[in-house]
Amino acid sequence: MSQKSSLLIHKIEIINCGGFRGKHELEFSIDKEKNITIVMGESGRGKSTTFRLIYWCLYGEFFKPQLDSTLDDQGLINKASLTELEVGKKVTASVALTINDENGEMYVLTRTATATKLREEGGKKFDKLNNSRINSGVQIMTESKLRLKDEKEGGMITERNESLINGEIRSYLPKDLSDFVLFDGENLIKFQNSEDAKEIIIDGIQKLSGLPIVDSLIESTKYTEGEIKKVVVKKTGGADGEALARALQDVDDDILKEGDKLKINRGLHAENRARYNEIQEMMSKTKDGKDVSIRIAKQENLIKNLRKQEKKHNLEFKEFLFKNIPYMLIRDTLLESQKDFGRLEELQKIPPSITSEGIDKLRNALTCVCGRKFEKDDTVWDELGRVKETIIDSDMVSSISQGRGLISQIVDQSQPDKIQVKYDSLEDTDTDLARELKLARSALDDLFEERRNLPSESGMQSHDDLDKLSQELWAENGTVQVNIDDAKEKLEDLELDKNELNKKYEDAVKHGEKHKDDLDKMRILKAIQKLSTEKKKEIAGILRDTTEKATNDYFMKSAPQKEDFDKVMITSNYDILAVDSDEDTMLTSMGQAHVLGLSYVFGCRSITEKNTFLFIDSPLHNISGKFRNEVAEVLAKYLPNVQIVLFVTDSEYTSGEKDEIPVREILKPSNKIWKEYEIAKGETEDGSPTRCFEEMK
Amino acid sequence: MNQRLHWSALTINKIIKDSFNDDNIPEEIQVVIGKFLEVEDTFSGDSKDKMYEVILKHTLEKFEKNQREKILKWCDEY
Repeated sequence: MSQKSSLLIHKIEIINCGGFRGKHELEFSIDKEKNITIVMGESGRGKSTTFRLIYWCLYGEFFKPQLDSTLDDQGLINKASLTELEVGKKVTASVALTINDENGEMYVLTRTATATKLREEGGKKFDKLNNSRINSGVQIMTESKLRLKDEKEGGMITERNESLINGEIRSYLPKDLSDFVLFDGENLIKFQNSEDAKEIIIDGIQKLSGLPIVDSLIESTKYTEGEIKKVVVKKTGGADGEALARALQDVDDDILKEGDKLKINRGLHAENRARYNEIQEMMSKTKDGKDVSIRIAKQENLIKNLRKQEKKHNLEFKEFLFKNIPYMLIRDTLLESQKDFGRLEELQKIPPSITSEGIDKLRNALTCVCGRKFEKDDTVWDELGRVKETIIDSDMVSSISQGRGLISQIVDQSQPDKIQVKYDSLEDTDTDLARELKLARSALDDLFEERRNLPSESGMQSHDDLDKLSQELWAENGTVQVNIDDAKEKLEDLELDKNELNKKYEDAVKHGEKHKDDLDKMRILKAIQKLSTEKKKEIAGILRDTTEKATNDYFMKSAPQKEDFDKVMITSNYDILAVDSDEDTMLTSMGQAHVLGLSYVFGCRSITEKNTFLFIDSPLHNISGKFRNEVAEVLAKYLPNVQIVLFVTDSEYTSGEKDEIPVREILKPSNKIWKEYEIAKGETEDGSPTRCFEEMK
Repeated sequence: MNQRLHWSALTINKIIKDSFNDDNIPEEIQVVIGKFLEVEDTFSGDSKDKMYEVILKHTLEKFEKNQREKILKWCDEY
């Protein structure tokens, strides 16, 4: 890693953004040894705001863009400054980042948003540039500025073209890879659940490899091939050609229409989901709200796991009943049959088989199948007689043994006692799971109730109203999901129709010399399509292996009780698993799951070409006690030379739980901490309240 | 315009470029794929199929007869 060139954020200057009124500066460590800077603050003080302002400055976009239906009034520009704005006056908010490479200052990047109050208005509107609702009479404009070295003439120059600035910054810090430099620590909890972790890993691999461009290439080759095909069909001439071209066009239009429907509903689903999450976040803005929201998230996770168990159990129960009910129904008949077989065996009276009856018929007909007449004392006649005896004998033996064997097997399986025991055990599990789920749901309801009764942040809707809204959104998404499933089903049918039409098309153009060029283009497109699909799998496979290796290296070096594990695997299905030497999956503790998540981030970073800064918002969130300390230790020990900035709450950092050592005490002796800042409440020169950065003593 | 600044376009990931630079793929097809990737990296929207067609048209025009048959045979067999 030391070989790589560095990219560090040296300073941030914030003016009138979020809770910060006036000008505020914060310097981060660029020291290779003491590489960690801490930014600590109470919940809601502005840690995440600072983290997100860095993202906004780097990319000119918001870390979490709000929807125009948002109820949030806290946006980019300091809310009080906006509220107090008089008609004809302006307020300017800005963020400036000083970015260094190993040779010193490389850029100073500044993004500015200026709000002007044009007229007095009572209502509110959503403003994309402020990422919140603002007064309808206010207009916001943004601009960007990049100061950089002039390599030809020397000295510094300034660029103001936003597209060029974005291009320059993104060539060093691709937006797709922002997760690996500005990491939201809330995601670490997802590594406790392999399904949730899978989503992050697939997304990461896609971003690291740039695979979306290959997806796009595959789509374009398909589309171009379809367009050429329509032209060719028309050229085949005649009413059939026209009709086929029309049918192909119609099915394409229908696919497009259903595809749009699917897209719109998926968008709506995502939008509702985002609004739902936004409301959850709004209810987590106060300290108590955050606390109960964490408990809600844990409870929801518990319910999710219980439902998974319930689903698995229901399947087992269903299989059991399907297998055993028919046996029980025919048990009496089988027992009777068993007796009959026994009697027949004693009497040696087994009904003749069809084969032996066939031989009788043959003998009675006195004519062979070959047409030859049988004669009296014919040797063949005797031979047939012997064959018949043998068949009867063997039929008798095999019928008895097979029939009886099968019957006793079924009779054994249909033992009411055995079935009852298994049934009782399944029913017990069923009752236990139902009870656990009921309790868990009731506990969740209590938590929702607790949150509904909490006071909301000043100026915001009550938790009761927000909770109602989030429940409505949840219900609406149920309907949207039905529409999604419906569109999916229709699309499947349409694809089948399209395949039929394509077959007709293949026949129509089979011998067409006059459209040779078009057909040749399609031959190339088809091959590229297939090739790109295979390459895509290959690239994802390479990246999966590389990510697995890098994640494994970090995890096996840093995980608490790492000796319990043999390695980390990322399966072909993108499940991330910590396994023992038999490749059996081991359960990870909360701390180990967090370290697994961090190992994944560190691993992915090691694949990239630069030693870039790593800012983590809330890395210690959702874990407590010794797990929290284990994670802190990993952060201090296993990322040498990487510029690390951690945004942590005071309760995570300076105070441990009862009889436990606070994280600060774990990190301090590592001698890795350069400076610790606290986001405190302060006042501007004119006495207005503001947040400010204070170095901790 | 400052010459030092460059557009983010044409920044196709090295892993992808390397993956298509495969000896088992005819060079002519590698060139077509390279051009398609440039289209994907630079443009968005509806007109990409027209660009693809133009690339294919020029490619086919440039081929000698034997070369064309060889490449198309490779495509069919792939």
